[in-house]
Amino acid sequence: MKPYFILAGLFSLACAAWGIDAAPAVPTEASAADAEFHDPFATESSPSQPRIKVSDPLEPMNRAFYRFNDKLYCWVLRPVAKGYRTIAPTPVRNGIGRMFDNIKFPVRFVNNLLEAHFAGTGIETARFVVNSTVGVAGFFDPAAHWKLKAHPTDFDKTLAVYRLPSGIYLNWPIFGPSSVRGTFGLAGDTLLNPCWYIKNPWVSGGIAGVDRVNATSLKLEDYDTFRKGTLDPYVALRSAYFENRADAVKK
Amino acid sequence: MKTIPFLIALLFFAFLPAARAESPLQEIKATTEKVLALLRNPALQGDAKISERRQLVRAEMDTRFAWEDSARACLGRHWIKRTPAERTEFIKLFSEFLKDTYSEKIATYYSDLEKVDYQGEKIVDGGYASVKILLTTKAKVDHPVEYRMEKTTSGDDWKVYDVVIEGISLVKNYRDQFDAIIAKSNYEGLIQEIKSKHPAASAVPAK
Repeated sequence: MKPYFILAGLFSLACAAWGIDAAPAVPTEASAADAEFHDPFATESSPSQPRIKVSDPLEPMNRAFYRFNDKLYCWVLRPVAKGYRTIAPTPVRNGIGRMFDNIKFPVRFVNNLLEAHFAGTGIETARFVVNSTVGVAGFFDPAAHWKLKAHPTDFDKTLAVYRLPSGIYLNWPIFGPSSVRGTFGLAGDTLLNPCWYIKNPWVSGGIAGVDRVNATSLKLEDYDTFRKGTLDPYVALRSAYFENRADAVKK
Repeated sequence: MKTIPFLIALLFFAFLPAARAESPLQEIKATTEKVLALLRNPALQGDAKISERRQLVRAEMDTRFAWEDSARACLGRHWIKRTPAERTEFIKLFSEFLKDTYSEKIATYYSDLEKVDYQGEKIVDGGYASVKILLTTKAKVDHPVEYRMEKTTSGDDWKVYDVVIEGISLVKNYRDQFDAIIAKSNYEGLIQEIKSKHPAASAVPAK
């Protein structure tokens, strides 16, 4: 347990240096079992440090939209996806999911380029060429067998790479968890999605709907596990959103 | 001359106890393979065996997870304010809650698994380790998982206190939820919330 005390000591020094008043006293040897758990891998230097609070001034609105999305999922999306799952076998649904990913190639191409991630740009281009032809419009993924692994990215990540802060949390109806930056990211990705340029709004809307239902059908139980395993699903989703984005940006 | 191999053998055995502490990665591998084997056991298939299967997964979770420190980490700054009895109750409640939620999930997810890639481990401060594995489903979807582990006080085993999936730390996620619930009501409110989510937990004696 020695390293723990050294770190605790270092932490108290760091606190003093930063003028942070850590509310609970830094544990001494006698009260080690009482102390907060020290996690050397945590992103915060210590759990007792005043947390970098997620900014959510619109929480009442966001919570209302969360409830709306929850009902939308339970009453519409899940039954539709369940019905669709009984008609379409898993390999077909996986293939359709890959086709939608393949169509969104410009999103990954442009954003990898903007992030100066040229290897990603090249690999994504090669994947698009191979999978659109040999892979039958992206239904199969032969490129993966040639060690060409997908390099997913998005405009939110690009904006993060350019050091734009995420801003306040926004939980949109239908679209779900986002932030100010995430909303711009979503808008940018939509403009890079070829389906957006289909003139007939019913057709483009329908395609987006099929995309969503297909994706949902592939992870139907996930949301139920999430609901079962969370005590405040709204907070859990918000926390997970920022964690997952931070992780995506790191890569 | 016969004594030399004997001495070498003796030396070898003398060092054995020290070498017995497996690496964190080996521990994760052993547990994962064990769970996969029991889920693939033909004798444990079907809905009739669901509770038996769940029981076995729970037992594996019990041997590999450091429930006490996991619960402590999730309670964060609120841990200090709790009495020893409250802590004992919380550890029990929370671990039961996690096992209930995830034992069957693990069973269904692992049955859909094609490959496990044990990528590597990183040990910091001597007593903590991060183990990264990559799970690939039959649909060829990759799920990166990171186990955060600590060396047990006896020093011969590694136990998991946090699981990070797609960058989302289980401990951090629960800590944020518990923080929010305690801020809105109080610690008692949190306990009630866990109990209401987990009916069997009410049977846990609140010492």
